[in-house]
Amino acid sequence: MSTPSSSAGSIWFRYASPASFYPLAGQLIPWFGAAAAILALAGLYVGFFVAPTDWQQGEAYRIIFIHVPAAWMAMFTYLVMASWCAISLAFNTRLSAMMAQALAPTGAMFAFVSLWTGAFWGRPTWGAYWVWDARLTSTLILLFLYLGFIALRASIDDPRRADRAAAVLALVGAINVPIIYFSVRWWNTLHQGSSISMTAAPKMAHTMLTAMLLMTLAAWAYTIAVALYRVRSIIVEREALSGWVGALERPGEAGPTMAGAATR
Amino acid sequence: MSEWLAMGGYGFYVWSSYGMLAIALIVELAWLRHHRRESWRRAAAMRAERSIAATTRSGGTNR
Repeated sequence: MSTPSSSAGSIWFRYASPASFYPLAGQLIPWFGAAAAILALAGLYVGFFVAPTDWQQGEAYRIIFIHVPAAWMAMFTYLVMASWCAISLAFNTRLSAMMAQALAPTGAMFAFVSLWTGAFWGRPTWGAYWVWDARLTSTLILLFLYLGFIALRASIDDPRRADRAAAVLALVGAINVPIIYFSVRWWNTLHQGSSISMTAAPKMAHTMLTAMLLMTLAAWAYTIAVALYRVRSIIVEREALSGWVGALERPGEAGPTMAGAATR
Repeated sequence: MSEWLAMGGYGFYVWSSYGMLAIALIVELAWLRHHRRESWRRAAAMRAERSIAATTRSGGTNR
């Protein structure tokens, strides 16, 4: 990590500027988008046609292939968002605040999907769509933290002040993520314990595990693609008055020759 | 086929879950495209506003 760190560092700083990150993000989007589609199709195929019926829960368990990846993604995205917020507060960098802003809606979407699929899995297995169990309640709080982050940002006109206020909210709320993760161990919850653990062998068939991991990777690729797409829109809006955005070609409109001529 | 769709009696729960995921993805992707168009529109409006402000300011000092 001694010699390559300087070159890696310079690459890092080069892409920390919105002007150089914008085209890089544009190049990466189709790759992550295609990866998400292929992984999801493979995951659904294994999940529905290869993985066996669960001896206890019948076919209802197949909700796991979207429920667990969505719940993991919602928690992990929050940690990534909070990390970008910490970087933005510490170094006052524009792009990191924009990345946090770009991740929030997708994190909220996955938190909602994990709650919804959990409800439709809970009804046939526990007999209730919703219970005020520690895991469910803390996941609901996660959804509200995402929505609060988005609403707080939107309510402040000055983007830099909005960045700072939202970053503080995101960092304070980060305490909720370990609470969700450990809730099934700390409290006597109705929610089952983890099927996958870092320390023990998984308590499920290999094909079930394969389907779940494929769907998890699909969720990762999707989140990266969508966040990169969204951060480009955010950059266009927030850097509107900088020369380089003015020189960009507006997508889906005008010919390539019009782009430069229109603004200069 | 219909037996597969029935999901051993759990079809309603399984397809309600997968259906909502599909809706959520479609809504997010549609919103994403809308957001991009809006951001370009707003950026163009901001630049137009600035150039108008610049011309009126220079016009004012000249007179």
